[in-house]
Amino acid sequence: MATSNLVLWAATLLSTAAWSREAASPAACQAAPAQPALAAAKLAVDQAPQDLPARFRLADAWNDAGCFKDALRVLQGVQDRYPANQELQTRLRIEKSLIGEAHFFDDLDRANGEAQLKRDTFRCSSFADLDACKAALLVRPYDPALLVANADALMRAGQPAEALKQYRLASSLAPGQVDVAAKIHEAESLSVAGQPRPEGAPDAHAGTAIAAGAAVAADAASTDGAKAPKTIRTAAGPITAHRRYSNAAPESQSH
Amino acid sequence: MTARQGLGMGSLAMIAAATAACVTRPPTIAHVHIGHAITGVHVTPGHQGYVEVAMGRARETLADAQRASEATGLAGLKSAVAEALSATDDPENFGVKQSLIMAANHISFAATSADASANVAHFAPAFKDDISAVIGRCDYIELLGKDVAASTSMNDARLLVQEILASARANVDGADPRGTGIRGAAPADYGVAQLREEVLEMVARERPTYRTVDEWYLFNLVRLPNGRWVFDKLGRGGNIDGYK
Repeated sequence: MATSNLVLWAATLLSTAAWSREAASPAACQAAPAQPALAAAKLAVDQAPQDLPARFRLADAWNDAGCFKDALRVLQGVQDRYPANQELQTRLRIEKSLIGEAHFFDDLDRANGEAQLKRDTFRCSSFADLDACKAALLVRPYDPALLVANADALMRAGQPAEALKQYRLASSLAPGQVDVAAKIHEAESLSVAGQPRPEGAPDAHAGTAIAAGAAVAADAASTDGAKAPKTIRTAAGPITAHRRYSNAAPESQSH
Repeated sequence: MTARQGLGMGSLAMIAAATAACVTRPPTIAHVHIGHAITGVHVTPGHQGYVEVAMGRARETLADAQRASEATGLAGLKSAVAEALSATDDPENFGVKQSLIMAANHISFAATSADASANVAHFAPAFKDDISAVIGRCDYIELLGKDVAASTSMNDARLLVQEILASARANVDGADPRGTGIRGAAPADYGVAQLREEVLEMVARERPTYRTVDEWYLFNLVRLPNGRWVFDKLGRGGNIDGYK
């Protein structure tokens, strides 16, 4: 009877381990002793620390709360006293498995998060996708390469002032990058050129973009006579007055 | 036949009977679960073990991605990428991702079986850690595949396909991010090939020795209502739903 109960209990725990992720957060486990079932089971163990059934009941209560590490600690507390107890050994093995399961799902979540970051980084650097840049920077706000990719995307989107901040931050995090210094210079020039002039003041920055090595070109697609956006070619790639959208955006909004 | 010859024949018959008895002895429950990971399980295509299904699906993904990279039109490219996605991540048809997770789960079942060796018990959590590189690439392929599906530019789609192709190749043979010429040198770079090798090495360490589990045992391990795992003597094809 005891054996069949053990097997049933083990199978139940195993199925829990294999098919669900019920591990509670550390904060929830800290608060769990306030639960009546746990409090009662804990009191029983406090009164008879070596009583094995009491330990099992407390471990079960911790398991019900999703606190597998606490359940394991309860069982390990009597491991030396009952080294040959089969039920205790089985319970210990399964508790370790449950903890491993929680770790496994954490790994899967982490793999998914890393895949998302990798995709956002790829889209940021390859397609100047500002939404992807933003998402990637939320995860890695101080990644110099990502900051530069974001700044390049901002330059392409015609936002040199914003790009300048990002280039400068990247430069402060990873000093000495020659190409970043050149990009900062270029973004500075374009930022100044884009600032509104006081009324009647001479255009002191006229031709700055050209002086910075940029060339103004009409969009090649304007042959139908429609008004085309101006495109400025820079070291970071062409800057178009239009914002660039992700591939998920409607075609009418895409680059 | 002399008495000596008769005795000899009798001894041979006894040895044969004893050998047969050894061969037909049921495998351990732990070894049956391992058998589901590497040899066969009745719910998969071709009744293959989950690791083998993962390898087959990873190769399909690579072939589809290769086809996508050679496509001359956006429609053909998208169609090939859609097939790559299906081979990578398809809960209904055992994509690479699902097959590997099932393999890891079954190795965990083995590790928690009462008759599991220390070798299996130590291996199970390590294997679960090691599959995460391939799972991560599966997720990456899926995300890029969705971008391809939404793409209206052949150039953009081609760039995305190159990324998918690189990940699909790494999922088969492992990655070589440092350009050492060795693929899958560390767990973070593992493909299904390295994972399969890892499982086979674990199996080779088993004492008593792991024998390929007979199909009958693989397909007829059932879980009783009281939670016990037993073999169905009537051979009704097993209740593998118990795993799900």
